[in-house]
Amino acid sequence: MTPAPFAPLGTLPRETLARWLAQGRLGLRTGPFTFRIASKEAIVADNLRLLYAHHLVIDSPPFADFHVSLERPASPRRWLRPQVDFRLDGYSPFLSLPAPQAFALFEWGMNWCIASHAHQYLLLHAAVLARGDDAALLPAPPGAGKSTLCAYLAHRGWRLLSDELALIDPANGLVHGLARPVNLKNAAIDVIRDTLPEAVLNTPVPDTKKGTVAHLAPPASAVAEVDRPARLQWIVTPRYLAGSALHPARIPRPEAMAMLIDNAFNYDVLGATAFTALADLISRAPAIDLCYERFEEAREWFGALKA
Amino acid sequence: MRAPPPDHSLIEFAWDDGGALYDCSSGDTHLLDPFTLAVLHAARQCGPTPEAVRDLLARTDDTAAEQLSRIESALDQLTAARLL
Repeated sequence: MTPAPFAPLGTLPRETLARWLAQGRLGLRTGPFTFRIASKEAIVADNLRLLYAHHLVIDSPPFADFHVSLERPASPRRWLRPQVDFRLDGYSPFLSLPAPQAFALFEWGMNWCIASHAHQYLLLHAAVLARGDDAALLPAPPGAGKSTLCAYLAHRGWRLLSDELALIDPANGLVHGLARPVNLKNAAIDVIRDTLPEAVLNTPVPDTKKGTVAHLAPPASAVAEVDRPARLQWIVTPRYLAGSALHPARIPRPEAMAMLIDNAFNYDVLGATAFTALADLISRAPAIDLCYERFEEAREWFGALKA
Repeated sequence: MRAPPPDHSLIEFAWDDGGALYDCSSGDTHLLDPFTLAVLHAARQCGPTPEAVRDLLARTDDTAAEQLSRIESALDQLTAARLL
């Protein structure tokens, strides 16, 4: 029997989505991966509907890379201040979190699944944006303003490949996209809401381990082109600095190499393959530390980048 | 950019602002500044004695003659890292 084809999640009736999730039948495609998801949490269904409307889904996929669930633990916490567990094949890598954080936990769990298992790629903690087939890698420490700038540029001419995970094919250096929601934290949520009134954000969730978090839906065009890999041409470490004029500064290659190694999830797993892929990247792509305060100045600077 | 390894266990990339080496035997990665990289390359040619390295570097670097202690320090680091 031929399985039903993938269809955009947003075309599913609400009841169908809830039923597929409750019965563990929902297959969600994001870039090169298929997640099979089980959850009875309404907040998960509602946020999937809001933030993954353009992603392709299927009923009971014949194959899935990751079988995940979000479910309440078998304890009194099921009812009293209910909590949820994220599980991959029944294994829970995280502590239980309050049920209102279920969708945030789902997003972090998806990141963990990929970062811990997809060793066919060199995996970096970085955002990736593309212009045509040329891509910029944005590695940065937490709180530097990476996701905020990524969200802005993804709505101002750049194609979002990923906010958190760069998937680099070590065989050819191409970077693959996921086009998943952008994770915004604390003050960045209102900044983006004010700056990008057209953007789709979910309801912020307070008191998580990262503070208040919200997720921004990827633009439909980014999802439509998610299977179009790009070639990394630039490495930019954005740093939001209040009161700062735009200030780009070249990072010496050995220093840039050290930074990328620090941001790699599986450098030790891939060994020489990872070293060669990163050194090749450093050899061809300039690494630039970019201090910025104003989005528009940063956008103009990115726009002037030459491959 | 990628230089042939001095032996079968090292992969080396050399740039104008430094270099990176990967030791396939140990899994160690070494990131070198331009001076230490130049010392490494010189030591491979003439042997790891400070005076020989100084003399070799002095052919292309006018300041090398005055940097014997720096060369000694670089050689110590390279030896400790098992790159020499």
